[in-house]
Amino acid sequence: MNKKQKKWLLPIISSLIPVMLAFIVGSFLIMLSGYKPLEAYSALFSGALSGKIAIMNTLFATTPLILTGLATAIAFKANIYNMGVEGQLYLGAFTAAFLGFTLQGTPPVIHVFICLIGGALSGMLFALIPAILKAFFNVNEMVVTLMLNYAAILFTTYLASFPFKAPGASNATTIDILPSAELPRFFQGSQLNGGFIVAIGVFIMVWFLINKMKLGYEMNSIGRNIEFSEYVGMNIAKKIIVIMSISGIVAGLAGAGEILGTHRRFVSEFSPDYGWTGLTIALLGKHNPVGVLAGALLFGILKNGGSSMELMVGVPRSLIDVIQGLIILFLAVDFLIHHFSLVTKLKERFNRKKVA
Amino acid sequence: MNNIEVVNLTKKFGDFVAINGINLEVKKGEIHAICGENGAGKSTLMNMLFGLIEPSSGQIFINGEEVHFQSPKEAIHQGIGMVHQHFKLVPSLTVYENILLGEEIVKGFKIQQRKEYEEVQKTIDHYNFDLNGKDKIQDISVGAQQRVEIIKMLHRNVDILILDEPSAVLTPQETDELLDNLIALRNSGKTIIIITHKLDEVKKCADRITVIRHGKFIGTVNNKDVNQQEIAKMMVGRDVKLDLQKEDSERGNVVLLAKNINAYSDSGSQVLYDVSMNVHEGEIVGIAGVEGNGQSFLMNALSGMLKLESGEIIYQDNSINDKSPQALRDMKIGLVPEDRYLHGLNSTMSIRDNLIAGYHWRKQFCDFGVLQQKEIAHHAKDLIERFDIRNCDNTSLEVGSLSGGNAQKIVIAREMSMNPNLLILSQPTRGVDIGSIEFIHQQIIEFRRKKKAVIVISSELSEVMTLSDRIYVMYKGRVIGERLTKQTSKEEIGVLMAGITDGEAKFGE
Repeated sequence: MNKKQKKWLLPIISSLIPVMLAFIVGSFLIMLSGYKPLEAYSALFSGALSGKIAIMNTLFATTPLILTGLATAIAFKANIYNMGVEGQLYLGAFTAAFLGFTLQGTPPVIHVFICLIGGALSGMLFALIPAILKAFFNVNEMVVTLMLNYAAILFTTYLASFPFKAPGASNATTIDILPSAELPRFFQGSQLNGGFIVAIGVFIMVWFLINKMKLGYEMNSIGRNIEFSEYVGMNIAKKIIVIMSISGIVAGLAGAGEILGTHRRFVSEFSPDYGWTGLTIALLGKHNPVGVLAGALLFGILKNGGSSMELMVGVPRSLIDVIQGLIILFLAVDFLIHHFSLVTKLKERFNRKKVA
Repeated sequence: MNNIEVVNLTKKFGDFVAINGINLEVKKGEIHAICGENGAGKSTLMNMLFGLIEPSSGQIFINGEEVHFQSPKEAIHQGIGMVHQHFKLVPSLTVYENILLGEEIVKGFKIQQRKEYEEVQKTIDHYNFDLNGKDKIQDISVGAQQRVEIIKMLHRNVDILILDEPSAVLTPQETDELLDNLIALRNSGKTIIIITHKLDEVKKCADRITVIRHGKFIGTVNNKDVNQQEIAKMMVGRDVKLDLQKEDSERGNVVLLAKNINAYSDSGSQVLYDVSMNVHEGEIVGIAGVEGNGQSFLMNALSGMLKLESGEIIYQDNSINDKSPQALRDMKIGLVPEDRYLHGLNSTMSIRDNLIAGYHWRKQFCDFGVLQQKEIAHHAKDLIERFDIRNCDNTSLEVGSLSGGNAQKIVIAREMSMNPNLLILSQPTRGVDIGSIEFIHQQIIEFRRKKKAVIVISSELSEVMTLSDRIYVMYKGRVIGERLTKQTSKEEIGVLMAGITDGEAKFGE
């Protein structure tokens, strides 16, 4: 029994440590710039969590992060490094916008679904390029996905700057999507919209996939020991393609949701690194859907509370970026400790000295 | 006088106690065997004597003086040399160059090759070893390579020689030669410690025997006072049946037939040459051979992991060339791979999940893509009971937490549970404790009793001899001979393992 408790407790603790450390180091920085850390942090959290509107705005900020976090986690779980979530998100976003402003006369609910599906499919198709290269030609997916991000971002910028530029717009944006394609907002005063429902729906499906389904079992197996998985008969090439496709679908949905719910038109370079934040969240959540959900919520809180911290205490919002950076840094340390068993080595060295 | 004395030596790796308060006394000029099952801590103990790992506590005395070795170099300086199971030689260099590697005789910038050769040859001749200093390592046999390793140590003037499982890579004849060499060295005044779990070798050469079990000192006995049975009992802690009884069995139709298969490794060299073999219903066929003579590649070819260049493998009248492992499992072929932790198990996955791997997509476990957790848990419970797998009360624990024997039982349980017609096992009991070996062997024989076919690939000749009805011997990627177990002897197979044939006459199909 005791062992079982430990089993889920340990990963939680090892995820909390980098977050705590980031906040501690952050508090020194706040002090250095002449503010009170406690005040700043309480402003941060109360700004994000006190009151219905604040909570809704936090959830709004969380929405795309849940999806990009899940997209990354799905691939990471199988030890496939999809670093191209950002690019897949952009293509999904543009496709959704395009379908949103072209398909005139489509009934409202159906129109939204068509746009979501279109966004998901284009994310998937874009993820298939690195997947096929890896599965059949053994090309490193990390390099391909990283490079394709630039292709996707610049390509959508081009589309929004020239062929589909809204007449009279000063920057690279398309025209607005039709009202029938909009994901509805829930309440006045908050931008929280149907995208959140989509994100939660995807979360439930991914959770089920990973924990209950055959494919989840196979992802887990491939992620832990690819040679074994091949030996017991899994078709690795096929699985790589399937897993990357699902990852791409979720990334595409993240982009589509942002367009249909928030921007309501395609704005070039609209994403404040949702893909990369998703990567951090996936690592923080240990590739576990529930962990990703918690991580996304934390980053949503940071994002939404950051502005009220700036407003009320005067600590610049960029501190949030610092804290996010520190989380990544401490995650990397955690990674080193785990993969090179630093702690045990240090302990051994210490014990040895005592003996000698 | 005691050459080596070890007092209360303990080594911990984290929470794991590998060596627990061991006392050992090795007299000058004796052959001292350290016996114990795999994982008992024999190698850890010796690695501490040789300075490869540092003890957590306890003392080591060499010739009455306490020592704290930080590295093998210091150990060699104090007269202790070690020959590892896997040789550390450069294949493209000559024997004398290997022996003097790192200690070349130099004049200015030039290596004195002639002088080097002469000095090394002097040592070789002094100990009367069958070696030529000018031969290249890649051209000499494994037995000779081992002699090079021993000379390397002797040339550095060591008085105490530690050998870690020296016979693991040798043919029976080479083993005999090695033991003769060791006895000669002992007679010339050297002290020899030999680590092994092969009891017949211990009986042949040792003066005294120290047994350790689970990192604990069990006892030191004089070789002449004990028999093999008694040593085995000390090693395992209970009575052990050393030989297995199996009744005759009637063999049925051919189940698997390999015809002239040729295959190349990833690096492009040919690894299987015209291998032909077959196995019938109700028959256990053994593949014997010194390790590294193509058995692993044969296993890979039979299990769909190695592409054939030519030839054909026919299973129940169907060609299975280029079939995937999954297809083979569908055709009721069970596969127990050589490397348990790489191919056989996913060590960080749970016991339960490992027990369905490869069969996880079957309807029994998976309905419309959804895993049937209840059924999977039930299946695990059932197999754990049937195959007597210990320490698995919680089937959600990682397989990596099990001992070698129990881990191997998981693989065997998984493959046998799907009721295959043909079971192919590679090194089925490597690194497995004696108790589990007994059990696994019984399971294999039980399987034959059900009129199923079995192929056992093993570099342990005694295992092949006890299990098989018929034996193929592999040498350098070829099947060099085929014998009925009843009509052959360990010696005859040993000769074949060394690659010696005289006008081989084949029989039977």
